[in-house]
Amino acid sequence: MPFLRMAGITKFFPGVVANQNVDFEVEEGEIHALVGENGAGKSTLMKILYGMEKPDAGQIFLQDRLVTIPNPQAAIALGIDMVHQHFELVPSLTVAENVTLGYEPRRGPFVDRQTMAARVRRLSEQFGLQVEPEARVSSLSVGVQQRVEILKLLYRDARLLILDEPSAVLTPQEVDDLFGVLRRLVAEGRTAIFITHKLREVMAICHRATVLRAGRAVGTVRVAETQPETIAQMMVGRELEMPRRQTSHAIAERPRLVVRDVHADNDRGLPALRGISFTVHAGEIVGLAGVEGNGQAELLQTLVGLRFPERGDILLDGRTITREGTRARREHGLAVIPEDRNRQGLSLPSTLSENLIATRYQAAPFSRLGLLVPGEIRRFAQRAIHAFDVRVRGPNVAVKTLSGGNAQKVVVARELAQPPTVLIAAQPTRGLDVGATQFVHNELLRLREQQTAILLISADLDELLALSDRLLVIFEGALAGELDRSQATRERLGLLMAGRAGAELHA
Amino acid sequence: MATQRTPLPYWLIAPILRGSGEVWIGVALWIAIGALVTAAIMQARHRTAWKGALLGAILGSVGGVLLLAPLWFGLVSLLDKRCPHCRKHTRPDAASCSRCDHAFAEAPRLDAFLATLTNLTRVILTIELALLAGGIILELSGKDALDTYGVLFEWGLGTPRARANSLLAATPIIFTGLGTAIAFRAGIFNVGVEGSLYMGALFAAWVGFTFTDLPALPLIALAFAVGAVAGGLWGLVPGYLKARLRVDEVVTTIMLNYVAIEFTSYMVQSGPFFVPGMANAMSKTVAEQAQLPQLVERSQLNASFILALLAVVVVIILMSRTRLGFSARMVGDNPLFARWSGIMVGRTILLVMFFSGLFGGLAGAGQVLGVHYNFTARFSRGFGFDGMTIALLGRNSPVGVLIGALLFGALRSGGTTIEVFTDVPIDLVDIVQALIIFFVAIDLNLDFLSRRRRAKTGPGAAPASAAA
Repeated sequence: MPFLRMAGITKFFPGVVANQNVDFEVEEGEIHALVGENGAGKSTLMKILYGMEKPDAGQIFLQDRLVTIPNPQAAIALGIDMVHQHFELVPSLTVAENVTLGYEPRRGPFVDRQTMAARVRRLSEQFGLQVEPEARVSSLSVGVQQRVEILKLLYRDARLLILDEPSAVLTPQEVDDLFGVLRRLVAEGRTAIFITHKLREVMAICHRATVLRAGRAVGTVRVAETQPETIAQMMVGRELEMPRRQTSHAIAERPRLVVRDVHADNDRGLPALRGISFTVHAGEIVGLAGVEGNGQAELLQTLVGLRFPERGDILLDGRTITREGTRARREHGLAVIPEDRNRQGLSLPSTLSENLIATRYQAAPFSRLGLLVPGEIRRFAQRAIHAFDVRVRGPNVAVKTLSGGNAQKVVVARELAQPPTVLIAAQPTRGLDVGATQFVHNELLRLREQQTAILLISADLDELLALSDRLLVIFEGALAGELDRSQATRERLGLLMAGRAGAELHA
Repeated sequence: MATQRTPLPYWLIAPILRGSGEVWIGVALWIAIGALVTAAIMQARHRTAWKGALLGAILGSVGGVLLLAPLWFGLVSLLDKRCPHCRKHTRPDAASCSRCDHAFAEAPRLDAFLATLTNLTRVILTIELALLAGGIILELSGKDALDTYGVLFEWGLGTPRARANSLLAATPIIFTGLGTAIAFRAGIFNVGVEGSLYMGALFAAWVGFTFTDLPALPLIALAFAVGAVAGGLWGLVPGYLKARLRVDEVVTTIMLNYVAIEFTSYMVQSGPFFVPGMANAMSKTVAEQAQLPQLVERSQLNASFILALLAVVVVIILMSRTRLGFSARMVGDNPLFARWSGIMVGRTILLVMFFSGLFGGLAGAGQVLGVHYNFTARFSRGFGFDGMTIALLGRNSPVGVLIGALLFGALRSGGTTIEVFTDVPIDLVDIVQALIIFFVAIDLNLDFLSRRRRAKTGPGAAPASAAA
């Protein structure tokens, strides 16, 4: 008897089938992976289970009992609870307050703070979560915040825990800790659904995996009896290829991007970059690894010209650009794939062609004497749509109607339409499905062949390891280490990213 | 305007199509309209205020379903896209068939036509609702709504002279509406067009009574130019503060309005432009050749109206065909994106604020040279603020501004006669205008609602899939 059975779940959205006749079963006490590309219907299925969406057809059975789940409160009452990708915590409250929020223990009309703290502490110890109930959430690292979220579920006595891409925000070490917690949970008889598209994690921790593709359940496999390639093929329905580059071609000793001892403050006026120096040569991909929030955002802004360094110099193809603005830098051959696609990389209400020319509208042939040349703009947009295979009705469609992968293609098309001297790519494949990721990777490699210097800032170690010629690791605003492609491993990078520095490396 | 992209208010035409909660907004809306229209007709027939209205409302609810629904069904099937594969009707703004996912080809002409139709429907509907609500208020206060509207219509549009006066009243608010719309489109909430209007008026008057030796055309051109530049420079002050020092423009422009109004008053009350022996606070009269020619008999409608129409064309070109217009739209749509793309956001804000103020200055100059022939302290009847309403109503599109301004002109010009011929106070016109703003605001909200819902549920929408 399965613990949870979702039968024939169907959900339509205007224009798209999100789930079509999906059957999904979870056994008690297992960690069940729900995998699939972006838009495959994972989130919709889980939102239906969590009462956030109503299915157009289908039934949910919990321990063979038919249940209806009209809202999340009902789900919680049934013991189904969810950790969202973006945490739902109040930063200014303590751990205990967050955990008990809405279900506070009371003494008369008052909140019983002592019982609250004691219960949270007991739960935390029982599951080895190592969370201090009186700590303020704002002072906790992301990994600990996630444990607070899990604690919240346990406090509400969840039997079935849904984790939506829980590892996306964690360092490799924190992921290991999370896995430990999950193992203890199932040992205690709880059940977990683990939404992910990282196969390594499926292999590492899950018992079974159900694969969704284009709204349909492709199949369920026992992880121990399955190769990761099999799951990958089920996800995409085709052979998955990690980008394989030709063994490193000779990198010309032509420094294109030189960063020399750059110091910069963050928005709060605190030092965010403390003396960063590196060089990217023509035809080279330099990867920058690091846990988010260690100065990557500030470095990116400094390189683009949206933040000016307190000290230090930036040279673009031999020319000092430290004090120049974004437009001047772009006109000298800088291209940028920003990390926040929907806010920095695209203007969603604007049309495709407007997005495509936003970095070059001021120059001929797109404008002459202050007037735009619509014909040239349309031709350029159509060429770019064709060359970068953007699936769209035409250049006058608003970008907000595009899917994530297609939208990123628009960014890539704009930045690479004229091969840049230096490309800074920040999280260029974040949230993209396998197909779109491959596309972006191939474009980066193609550009590398064309002697562009590429700085790749990414949170995805596999991506960094696959693409980079050299790897830099940033930690607390300084470079914690530099590894050649041949020396770089996940473990070494993980240590450097965690600030457990170079003693052994330099040895 | 082709570049003005507004999502189709699907809730408007959705009553017949199945699907989302938007349907119910549409149903409720059309039943309400049916009820009110019938109520109004009933009332006109029987003159028994409340029983008639009640009966009408009941009949109208039924009629709204029976009559309007088939009408809209026809209209919707005309607009609907039909999938060539499975023949299924799909909402007209869809990119692909809702059943078989067949992608539709882009039809820019049809899309543009739909967008225009949509905007037009929106404007008309907004006005209609405001008039209906105003009518209810009139009835509640014991006046005859139809009579009052009759007078309003008669004196707003009924005769050639009434129409001329409506155009006259529309002239300054076309300018201020354009000026405001430019700023709004760039995401700048410029409340200061009124101040620019005063500065433009003062300096246009100064040119008009100082360079009296110049012949007509150069003098008029110079007066308009100086007035426009004065307004533009006045707009640059908050523009500079916003662009360079990140000072919020709402506060500065509101405050600078007071500065402009008081400064110009001082100039004619006791300052350099003070005219001894004049009872009112006004400057010298401008030279006779600087006074704009009138366009029709027995109305003050003058050549500045032609200039206002030209200004509409200029703004269309400015916003859709120039580099400045492009950067302004990008800054308005997503300022962060604009920065990352290398668009000079600060410079764009400065230029937009200059042009925004410039049109305010033109409004002032037009009033001085075409209507008053001098600068009178506090002469503006809130033209700058009417401009904001009109910009909102017209969705920041120049043509929308023109339509809105013509409507407001008719309301204003008809409203002034209401007090003469009925016992309804002129405040009624203000109430109707306020109701229009009210309904515009509601409309914006619904728009926001349906857009958010689409972003949340649409699997193709980027933000949703990033979290998937």
